[in-house]
Amino acid sequence: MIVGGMMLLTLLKKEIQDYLISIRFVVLLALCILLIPLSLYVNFETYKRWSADYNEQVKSETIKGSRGRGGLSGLRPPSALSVFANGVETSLAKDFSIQSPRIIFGTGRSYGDPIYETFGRIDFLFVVQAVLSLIAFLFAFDAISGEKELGTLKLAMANPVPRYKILLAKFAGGMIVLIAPFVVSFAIGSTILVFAGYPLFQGIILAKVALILLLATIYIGLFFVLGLFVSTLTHQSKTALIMLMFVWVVLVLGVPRLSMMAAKVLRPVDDDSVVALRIKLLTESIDKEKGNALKQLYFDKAREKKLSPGLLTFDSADPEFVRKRNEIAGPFEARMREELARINADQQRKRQAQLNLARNIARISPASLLSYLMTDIADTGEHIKVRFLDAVRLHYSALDRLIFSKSYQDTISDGNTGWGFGGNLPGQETPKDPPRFSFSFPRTAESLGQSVVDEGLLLACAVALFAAASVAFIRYDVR
Amino acid sequence: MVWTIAQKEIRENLLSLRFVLLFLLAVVFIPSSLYTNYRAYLSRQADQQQIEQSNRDYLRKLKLSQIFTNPKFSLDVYWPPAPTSVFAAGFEEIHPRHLVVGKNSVEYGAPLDVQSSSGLFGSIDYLFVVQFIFSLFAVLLSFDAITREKEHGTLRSILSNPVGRAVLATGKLLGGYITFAIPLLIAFLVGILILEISGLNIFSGDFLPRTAWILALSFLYIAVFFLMGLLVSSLVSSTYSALVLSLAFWLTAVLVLPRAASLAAQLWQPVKSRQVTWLEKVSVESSTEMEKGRLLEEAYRKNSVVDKEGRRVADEGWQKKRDEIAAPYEERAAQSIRRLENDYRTRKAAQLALGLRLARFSPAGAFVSFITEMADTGIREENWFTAEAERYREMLQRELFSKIQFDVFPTGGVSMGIRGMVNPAQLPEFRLPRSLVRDSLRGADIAILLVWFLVAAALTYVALARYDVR
Repeated sequence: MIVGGMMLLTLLKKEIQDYLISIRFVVLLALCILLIPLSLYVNFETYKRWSADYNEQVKSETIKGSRGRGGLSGLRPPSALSVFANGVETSLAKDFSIQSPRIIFGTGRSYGDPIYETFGRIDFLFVVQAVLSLIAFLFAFDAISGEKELGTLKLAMANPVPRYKILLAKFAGGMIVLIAPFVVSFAIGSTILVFAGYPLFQGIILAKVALILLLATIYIGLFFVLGLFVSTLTHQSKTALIMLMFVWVVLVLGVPRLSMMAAKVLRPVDDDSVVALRIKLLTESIDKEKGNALKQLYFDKAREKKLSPGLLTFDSADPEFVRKRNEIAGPFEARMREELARINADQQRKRQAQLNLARNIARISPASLLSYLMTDIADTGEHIKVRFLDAVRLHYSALDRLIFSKSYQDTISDGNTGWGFGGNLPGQETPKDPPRFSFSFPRTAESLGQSVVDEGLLLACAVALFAAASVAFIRYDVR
Repeated sequence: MVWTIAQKEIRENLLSLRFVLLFLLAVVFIPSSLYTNYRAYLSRQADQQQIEQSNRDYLRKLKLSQIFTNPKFSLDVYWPPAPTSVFAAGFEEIHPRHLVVGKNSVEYGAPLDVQSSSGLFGSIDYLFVVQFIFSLFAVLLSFDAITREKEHGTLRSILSNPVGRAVLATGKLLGGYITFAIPLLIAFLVGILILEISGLNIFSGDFLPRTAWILALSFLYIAVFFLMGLLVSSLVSSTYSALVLSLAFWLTAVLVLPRAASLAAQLWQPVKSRQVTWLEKVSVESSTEMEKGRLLEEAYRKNSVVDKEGRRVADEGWQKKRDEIAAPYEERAAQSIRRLENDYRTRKAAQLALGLRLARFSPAGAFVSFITEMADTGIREENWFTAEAERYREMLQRELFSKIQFDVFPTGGVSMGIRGMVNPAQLPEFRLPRSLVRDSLRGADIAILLVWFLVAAALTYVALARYDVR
């Protein structure tokens, strides 16, 4: 036992030493030290700007609110953890305004930032997902096949060491060498952030950052094990390398992008602008029908009041007029509400189905899994998009109940002449201070709970690959 | 002799795993991405036409009263999608396609589709495939061109013949490169064929010339990476070192540098955000309105009489007095706003120029810049669109806004009116002229790629000349 344990330690030391003196370690170190702290810092500067903008907007909203016009627009606060994973933070609408019955969404935070949009951005997620995965492969591709080529593998096996221990030593050695620079750079980056004012120790942020670091480590480990596995499949390092590069392209570059594209083809959904047009046409046609139904009432009132020809009026002082108007207009307005609700619910359902399909397809690749997981934790993921859009619609329904349904808008037309009337229905109270929109980030348990499946998947994948590598290695011809 | 070496290279490569995989990736990704992007283009085009039609209807039915009673009256203009965007669509809403033209400034309009413009992942397009996949495989094919032969001992056998080292290098370059060109060319042609069958008329407009340029630059881009792999191979003696260095080069040049450029530009030349500029404009507008309103109110009291029913009515001298007072304020507001806007634009443009210059150091950056311009989805296109929207705003200022009078009185009155003839139905529509191929041609990017190519070639020849072939 003791001999076995010491043997493992010796093997481990050898592995680590081999890696430490190699060029690839230098490349890894350089990339980690350069990219991680820099990207964290610059993303934080960007976040500060976004925060400042957000606070400015909050001030204007408060002013609007004090004039009784609050609630008709709303804001979405930036997530502090977007420093680690931008996700949808940069492209999702940051505000909206309501012009009943339309909800008009604003632009994203990086809208009109052409360099970023053309070349892409570096965030911690990108460094881990794309750069470190490639380097993990670089570390692993010749772990087995390289030793075989050098002839040292059979020498190692001539000792009384079980094969799984050799594999274990390779895995542990490689992981230590891969993770150390990564963790050190992360620590440096976090320290810089704290000095620059990042609220690292506020609330749940530290825990989430720790979780992000853990996920990254599992992810890198997974790619390393995958590399080891492929290395045990062939006797030539070069073949292993080419296969791994191909796998990298497919898993990191291909699947994440293909997943959304495939979902769009398999479950197409109309653009929002098309739906908005549909709503507009529907609104106009129902309005017209309503106008025709109300025509007689308005004309009668005009005649009763002996108004000059061509003039109509909404007589708010006559309760009978108002009652009759409500009675006639009621069913039309109810129908409009129903149709609108139906169209919106339909659209939402289709979108959700498309997103679910995309996410399922994306589960094939650990790279997209990582994106979903990290952005979920950072509150910059697809679920935030859904949450925001849902919150906006809920807010609109509340306003509709409290305000819009208590006002009237009638358009009467007779041949070439048209009249428009609008205002608050007499006798209906509208709140002086309409409810304001507020958006809150999901509680940690909630956002983590959603991704438990994915976390499990990532872990299971890594373990399965290690098992596969062990099996393959046991059958490996070491001569 | 060059051709013999080249032939040997081709034969070796054609049978290799990497060629098979590259061929697979190319033939799967390029035609399918072209087709998918074509479908997306069709749907964007349909949206665009619908929106333009509804805009036209809106303008036709627009009543004057709707215009002058709305101080924030504005018109929407849209940037129609181009067929060449099938090559470089990237994110669907990569550039603002919707601008709102108002009295004093042009602002960003809402994106046409909130859902698809905000996604976690981009999409695959031709630009992506060549930029990342082909360059990676170029490096993978060439990194051991020399070191492999050295390690097998065949390098000294070859050179023991009367073969100059330059000839060897050229042969390897030619052979390896032809191996590359084949999958790219085939996949490209298949893709174009599919497009033609799906209904895109490739012979219309300037589609074909742009496509030709795109293909040509793709070949140049891949050649640069192939040469860089070859260069690394001639600088070191072990295949393993060559691999690590080549991959490190690829990582840095393709994945890291272009993105780092935007980071650096933001650090070096930060620009105050659009939001802050917008707020400043709004505050200038409202403070001028208040000043103007106050003075107008005083003047109104002096230039009006109370009629029989107790209402105030303006006398004859009022209009002139009003113009006298209002004009300098409106002029001042307009100028301040224009100044704020220009300030922001200039700074933003400087930041953009810096970022572009940094990004284009890398061959990948130069390549992306060239292709997006040629595909009509580039940064230059966006500036063109914004400039045209500005011109449209100036025309609207002349024909419409200057004839509208809108005064707000502090005590709560509003006076609005129109001076002169305005017929909304006769307002010209916004038309964005199509840019010509020669306008989209970025010579600088071609030059950058050529420099990389030539320098790498020169260095390779020198390195090979000094290479220890034993």
